[in-house]
Amino acid sequence: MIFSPYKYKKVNCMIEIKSISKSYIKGAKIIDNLNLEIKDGEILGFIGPNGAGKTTVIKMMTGILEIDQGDILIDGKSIKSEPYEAKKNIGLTPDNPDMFLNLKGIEYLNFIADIYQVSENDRIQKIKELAKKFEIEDALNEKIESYSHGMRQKIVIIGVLLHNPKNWILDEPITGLDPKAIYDLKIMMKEHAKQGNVVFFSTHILEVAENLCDRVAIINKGKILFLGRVSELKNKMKEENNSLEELFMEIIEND
Amino acid sequence: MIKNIMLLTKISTRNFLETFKIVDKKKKRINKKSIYVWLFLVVIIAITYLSNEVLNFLDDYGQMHIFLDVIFAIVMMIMFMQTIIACMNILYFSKDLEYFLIFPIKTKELLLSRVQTMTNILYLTEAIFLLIPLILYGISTMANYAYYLFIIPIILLLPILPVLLISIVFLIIMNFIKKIKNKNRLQLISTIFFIGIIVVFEIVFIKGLLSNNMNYEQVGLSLVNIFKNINNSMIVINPLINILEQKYVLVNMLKIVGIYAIMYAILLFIGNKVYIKNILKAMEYYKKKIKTKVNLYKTCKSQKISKAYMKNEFKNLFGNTTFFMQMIYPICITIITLITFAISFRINAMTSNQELYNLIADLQLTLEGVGLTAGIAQILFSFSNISITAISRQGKNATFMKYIPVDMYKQFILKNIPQYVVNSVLSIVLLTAIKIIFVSITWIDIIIMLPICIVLGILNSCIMLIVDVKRPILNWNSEMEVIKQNGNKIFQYVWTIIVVLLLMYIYNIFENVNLYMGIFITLIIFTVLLLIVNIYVKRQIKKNKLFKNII
Repeated sequence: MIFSPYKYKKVNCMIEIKSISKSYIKGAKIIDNLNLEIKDGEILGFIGPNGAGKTTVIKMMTGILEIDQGDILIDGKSIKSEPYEAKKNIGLTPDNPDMFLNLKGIEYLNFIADIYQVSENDRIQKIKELAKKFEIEDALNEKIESYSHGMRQKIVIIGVLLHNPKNWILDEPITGLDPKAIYDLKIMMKEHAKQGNVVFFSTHILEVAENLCDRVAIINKGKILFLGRVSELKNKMKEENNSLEELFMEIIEND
Repeated sequence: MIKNIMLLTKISTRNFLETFKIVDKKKKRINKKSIYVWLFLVVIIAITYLSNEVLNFLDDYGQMHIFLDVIFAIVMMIMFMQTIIACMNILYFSKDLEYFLIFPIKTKELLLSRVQTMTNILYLTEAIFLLIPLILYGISTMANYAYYLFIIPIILLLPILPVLLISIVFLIIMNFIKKIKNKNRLQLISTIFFIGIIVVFEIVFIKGLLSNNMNYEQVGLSLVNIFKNINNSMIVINPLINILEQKYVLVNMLKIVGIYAIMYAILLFIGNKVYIKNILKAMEYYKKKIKTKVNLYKTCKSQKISKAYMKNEFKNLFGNTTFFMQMIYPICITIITLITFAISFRINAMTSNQELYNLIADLQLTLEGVGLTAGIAQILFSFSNISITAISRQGKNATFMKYIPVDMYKQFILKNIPQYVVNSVLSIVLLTAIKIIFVSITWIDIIIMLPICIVLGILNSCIMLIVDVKRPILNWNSEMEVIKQNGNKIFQYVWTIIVVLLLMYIYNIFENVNLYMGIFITLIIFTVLLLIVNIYVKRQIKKNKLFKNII
C-alpha cells in the first residue's frame, strides 16, 4: 500500500490538493508544489493559458496521471491509496468529447449508467430530463460519430450528470456548446453547488469564470498565481480600473 | 488533366506510404525503427530463398519454364485479393475524398487518380513478390539483357488488370445496390463476396489437385495446370510472359495495350456517369441522421458492470468497420479457409484418391502431432490483433478506464475477453479441421488437445495486452493507424517464435514419454506460465505501473 500522510485526516472540504508535484522529465516540474482546497458547495474556476498545467492537475485529480509528490483527497479518500472509493465520487468531462464514437447516444449513456450502477428508474428519469434540457432527445438513437462537437460535449456532460457525483470536474466544458446549452450548464452547475457539492472546472473564458465562480484559481507554469473570490479580483479591478482580462494578463505576465 | 491526376495520385499515394514510416524524413534515410522495414526485409529474404529452392527443384526435373506460370499466377492472386480489400475504401470511403471534392476536379480526374493510387500500392506488392523471383529466374536461365529490360514494362503493366477489373465491378455494384445505407453494410457485403471467392477457389483447387487417384508427380502436374488456367483466365498474363520470353513482343504489347484501352474506356464511361454521384451518396448515408426517438423504457436495462464493460468491448470491435476489417475479418477468412479446406480435402480424398485417404487413415496421434497442432494454433492466434490494440483502439479516451471506479485488474481481464473468445473459436475450428482430415484421430484426442490450445490462446492474449498497455498508441487521427503504425505487432511475431521453439524443445525432451502424459506436462508448463503472467499483472497494477503510459 502506498503511504499517504493525509489519509486519516478529517476534512471539511470535498477536494483537497496537497502539495502535489509532477514532472515528465527529471528536474523539470510541470506542477510544482500545488495546494488547493475546494470546499462544500463551491464552484471553483481553474484559469490559465494553454500549457499552464490545468489538464495535468485534472488528470492527477481523477487518477489518470500518477502524482509524483503529495496527494489528492476526494471526500477524504486518497486518489493514490484508495482510488476505487475516490473515483466513485467524481464525475469528469474530459477536454476531448470524442468518446465511444461507434456507440449510439443512448448506448453510451446506458453503459455509463451500468458502470456507475445507476438504477433503471433513475437512469430513465435522468436521461429523459437531461436530454430534453440539452435538446438532444432526437439524437439519442444515432451513433455519436454523427454528432457535432457540441452534441458530443452534451452527451458526455449528460453521462457525468447521470450518476450525480458529489464532485463535478469539468475540463473546458463550455467549448463547443451553443449559448443555450452554456446557460443550462451554468444553471446546473450552480444548482449542484447549492446542494453542497463541488464544481471544479477549467476554462479559458474569463467571463464564464466571472459570472459563475465563487473563487478562481489562476495557474501558470504549474503554480497557482492567484486564489481568491471573484469579488476580490473585481475590487482590484476597480482600484486599477482594469478589466478582468487585463488583470489576468497582468498576473500571468508578472509571473 | 494529366497534371491534376498526377497531383492527386501523388498526395494519396504518399498518404498511404507514410503509414509505413519507411523513410526517416529528418535524417533522409531508411528508418531502422520502422517495423515494416524489418518485415519487408524478412519477406524479401524468404521470397529469395523460396524462389531459389523452387528454381533448383524445377531445374532438376528440367521444368524451369513452369516457374513463370506459377509466379505470375500467385502474384496475380495476391494482387486481386489486395485490390478487393482496398478498392472500396480508396474509391468511396477514404478520408481524403472529402477534401478533394471541394476542389474543381473533373470526375474522370478523380477516378483515374484513385485507380492510379491503387495501382501504385500494387507496385509495392510486385516489388516484393515478383521482382526478385523474376531476376532470379533470369540468372538461373542465363537470360540476355533484353529479358531484364522487359521486366520493367511487365511490372508496370501487370497490376493494371486487377485494379481496372475490380474498380469497374465496384462502380457497378455501388450503383445498383440502392439498399446499402452505410459503410458497415457495404463492407459486410464485400467481406461475404471475398469469402465466397476463397471458398470457391479452395474447392476447385483441392478437387483439381486430388482427383483420379493421382500419384505425387501427377499431383504436381495438376497443380501446374491450375496455375496455367489462372493465367489463361487473366487475359494479360500470357502475353506478358511471351514478352518476357521475347516471343512476338510487339504483337503481345499491342494486345495488352488494346485490352487496357478498352478497359479504361469502360471505366471512364461508367465512372463519368456514376462515380461522383455514388461518392456523395456514400458520404450522405454515412452521415445520415436517423431521427427516431428512442424508447427509454425498452432500451434502458441495467446490467452488471462486467457484462456492460464486456459488451462495450465487443461493440468497439464489431461496430467500427475499420476495426472489424482489421481484427475480425482475418479471423473469419481463416475459419472459412480451414473448414473449407478440411471438408473439401476429406471429400476429394475419399472419392477420388483412395491411396491418399488410406495413408491418412493409418496416421495415429503422436506427441509431435500435438506439438505441431499447438504450434499451428499459436500461429493462427498471431493473425488477430484484438488484444494488442485493446487500449490503442480507444485512442485519446483510453484514459476513461483510469477514472471510472472499476478495478484495474478486472478491466484487464475484461479487455482480454474478446481475444479469449476468438482464440478459443480458432482452437476449436483448427481441431475440428484436424478431426475432419485425419479420420483416425478420435474425438477424445481432440478434447484432450483443446485445453493446451485454450491456455496458449489466453496466454497469448494476456501477453499482447500487456504489450499494448505498456506501449499504447493513443494519438491517432484515423483508425487505420492503430494497426498500420503499430510497431507492437513485432512482439506478437517474437512471442509466436518463442512458443513454437518452446513446443519443439518440450517435445524433444519428452520424445519417449507416453502421449497423454506428454500432453499433461505441456498443459502444466503453459498453465504455470499463465499464472506467472497473472502474478506479474497483479503486482504491476498494485504498484500503479501497468497503466502508467495511458495518459
